[in-house]
Amino acid sequence: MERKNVSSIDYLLLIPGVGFILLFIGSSIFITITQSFGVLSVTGKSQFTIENWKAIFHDKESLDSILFSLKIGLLSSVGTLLFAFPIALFLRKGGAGKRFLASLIKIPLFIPALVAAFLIINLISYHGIVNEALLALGIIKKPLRMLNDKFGWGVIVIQVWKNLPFVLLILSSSLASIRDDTIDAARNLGAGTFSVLFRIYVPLAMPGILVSMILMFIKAFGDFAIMSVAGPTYPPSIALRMRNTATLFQEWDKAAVLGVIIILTTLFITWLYSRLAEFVTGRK
Amino acid sequence: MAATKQKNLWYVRQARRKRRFTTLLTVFFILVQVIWVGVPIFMTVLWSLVDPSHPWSFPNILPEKLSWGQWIYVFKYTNILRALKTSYTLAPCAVLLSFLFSLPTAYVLGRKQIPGKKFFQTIVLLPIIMPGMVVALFLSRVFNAFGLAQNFFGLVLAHTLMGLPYMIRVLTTSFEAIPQDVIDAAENLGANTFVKIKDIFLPMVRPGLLAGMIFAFTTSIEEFNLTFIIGTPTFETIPTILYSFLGYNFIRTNASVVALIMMIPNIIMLFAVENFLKSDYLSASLGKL
Amino acid sequence: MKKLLVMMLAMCMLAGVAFAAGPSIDLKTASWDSVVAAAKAEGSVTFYAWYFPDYFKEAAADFEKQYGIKANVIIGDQTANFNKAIAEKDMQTGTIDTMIVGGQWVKTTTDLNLFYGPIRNILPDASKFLTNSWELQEGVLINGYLAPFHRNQPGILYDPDRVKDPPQTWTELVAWINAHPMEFGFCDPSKGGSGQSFVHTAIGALAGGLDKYKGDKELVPAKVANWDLVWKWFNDNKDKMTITVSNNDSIIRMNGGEISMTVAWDDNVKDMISKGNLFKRAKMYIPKMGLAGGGDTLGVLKNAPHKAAALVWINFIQSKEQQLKKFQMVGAYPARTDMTIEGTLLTEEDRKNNAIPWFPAPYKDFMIKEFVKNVLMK
Repeated sequence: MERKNVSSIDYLLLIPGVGFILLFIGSSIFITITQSFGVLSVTGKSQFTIENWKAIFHDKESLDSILFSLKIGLLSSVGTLLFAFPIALFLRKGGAGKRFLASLIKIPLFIPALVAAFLIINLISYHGIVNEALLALGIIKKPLRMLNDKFGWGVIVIQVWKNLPFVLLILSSSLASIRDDTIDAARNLGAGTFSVLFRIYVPLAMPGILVSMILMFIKAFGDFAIMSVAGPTYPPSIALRMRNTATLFQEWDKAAVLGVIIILTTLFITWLYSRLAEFVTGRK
Repeated sequence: MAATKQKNLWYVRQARRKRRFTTLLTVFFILVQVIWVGVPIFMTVLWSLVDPSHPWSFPNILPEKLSWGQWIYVFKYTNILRALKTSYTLAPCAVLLSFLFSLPTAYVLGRKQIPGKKFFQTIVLLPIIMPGMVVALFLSRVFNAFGLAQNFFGLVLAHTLMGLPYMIRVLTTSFEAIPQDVIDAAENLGANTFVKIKDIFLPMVRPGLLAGMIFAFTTSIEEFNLTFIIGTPTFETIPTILYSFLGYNFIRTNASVVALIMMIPNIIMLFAVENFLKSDYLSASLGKL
Repeated sequence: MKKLLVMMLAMCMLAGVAFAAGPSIDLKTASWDSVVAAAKAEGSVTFYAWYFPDYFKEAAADFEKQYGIKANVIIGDQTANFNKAIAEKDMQTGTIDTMIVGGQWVKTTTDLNLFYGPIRNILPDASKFLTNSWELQEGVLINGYLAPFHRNQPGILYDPDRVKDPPQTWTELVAWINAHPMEFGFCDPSKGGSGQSFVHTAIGALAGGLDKYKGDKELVPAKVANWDLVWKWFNDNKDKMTITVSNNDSIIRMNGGEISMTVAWDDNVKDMISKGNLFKRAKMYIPKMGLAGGGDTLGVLKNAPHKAAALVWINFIQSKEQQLKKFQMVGAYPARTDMTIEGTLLTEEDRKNNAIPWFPAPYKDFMIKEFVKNVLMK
């Protein structure tokens, strides 16, 4: 690293990148916050008020949306982890055919989320291939209603399908940093498969697990497109409700309150992650 | 002596058994993966080929007749060509702009020890962390005020914003990886800044640059939220067209065609650039927040 | 970059000056021939829609052939179209000339005073349409500002292989639903008009008829007091019906064998059949208990850069040939009253006897909100 010449020029060079991001993200957050209090309102009068905030907290519909989005975010991220972790472990060591397998797994990473949603809704419809296969195997007697179901299974399946490779890539690289001698040493000391898994792999891969979980949670929590295509009739996800409130009902101030709630949740989760990461890795 | 030989043999057999087991498991995973990824794509291909005059309905497991009718319809009547043009002009513009913007920033983040570096590195990830719909909805108010909404240049800026995090993070890692001695040697030989950039930095960050460009490119191709709020209806990209076929105008056959049009170039690209996509680039760019 | 911005700003201003010149004649008093002449001078028209890309594309080609005016048809998202129009509302000259106005947007856009008009007196064929359709849409007074261009009608769509004796009255429908749980579907009324029409009929059947709401400009709370009976019925029977997420979704689920009877728009059904998304044996009728229909309208934006061309375009879409072509291509029933149509899914008799009018808009808004609150949320 060059340590000399720490000058203001360095900060100037940051402007095109960091400055650009700060300008756009910052201004949109700023507008969201001011508008949630009725200031800088685009729909006519501009006046400070906390009425919109009060209204949201008395509104069961918005609360339902928040809880629903939280649930989908949590279940999608945990669900993806459960699938991705064993595969990542398996792929850790090279072997015949594993390269091919790895590129097969990567395909959904390059399939846009909306396309992924469409691919999956084709399969999980009432007489879609999944239901027909389960019927043929005698596992179920009547087709399951998975599309636009009340619980949101359809959305979760799509999130898992789409994001599995993403989580896998991050997990793989954190598993790759675990040295083989650590594991050999543990085995020689008589550690069984389970204790190797839970005492070595999981703790050492924890930073990767946390990052992938956080990114997936944020994606699924703030998701608009997949929820609007495969989500239940009620409740709409919070991002969907926000967009409809703004563009369909033209109540931008109320939408801004929802926007602030989404931002705060996201920030809180990210903060929680950084604390957890510090705790796990034991460093500051 | 015999006992050790016996024992060695046992180890060899054990190892062989283990290898066979791994191979079997690999084959099993490949099969699962082929079903997991292949079946959805195959069903979509089938739906896109349903002949318009022979509906595919329950209880037929397969369509009665296949034809290119749906493809012809989509190309003849929908805005798909316009959307393809928009998508594939928008993406290179956004990639270029994000490259230009991220180069100096990544250089500083990768090579200089400045106070507040960690903070800046987190800021860079904001477009990924911030929920897309919120940013889109309220950025559109800002864009409206400056005449950037419903405007191609505004869209390029928006897509640049989404591509920047990947670009900056990947380039930063590449800059970090350049050995200091190379630069020192060049300086001792009297290389000026221009020569340093041209002959050292650019060639050495090229692999990372390619990975960053691919991420920025695919991000732009599949960007939905910002385009939907800021660009439509004046500009349609492939995702926004697909959205209309999945929402109000849900027509499965048309949606299948559009989905395939959107997906095929991406998958081809994935296999073409496999080498640049080693997991380290992604984890380097996102490994820590 | 600054340079570029300045340049773009300058270009926008130049364009503004060029457009601000506008038509030199007063469209509201000029003869139709001079409107057409002004339209030809304008040379192009920009039209925003969100459906029938196939029909409108063909219509644009015909229009150019007939008048030599280029029609740019833009098929965007419905909500996005209106948000664009609203965002441009205060500009001297907008970028949209004319657009389709969907049912749920009639009130918002009328309140915002978005449209130029009244255009009824300008259009030569205005008298060929129902007087009522020029005055009232979705229960909102439109005073000739919005032009009718098709009449859609929801009906009950069923699979004749699975439904032998389709129900006609509310009692028969309830009995059928009880006998065939989950086989009857309707669209969530907050997502599609066919579902709204069904709930409207349910209110008529369960809360004492629809006549009492007639002519109300505002919601009378006493008249909706007994709607809880309706919500109770929906909640009690929710597990026996399938609530779908869009008009098309109902049809798709029927094609997939999930449901065998549903409420659907006639033009949607025809379109889905012609695209291979619904089996051809499907049949459709309007039950004796009645279903309310509707149709979208066309409006000219107040700040449209090509007003005369927009009017000529609307007149063209309203013409007999185009109304017929639209029906043949996409199954949308003509709004003109001086033509009869063959080959419809719904018989002329059904339309005459069983299509009913909507109750006023305030009730409709209330109905949708209450359905979400009292049925979907529970």
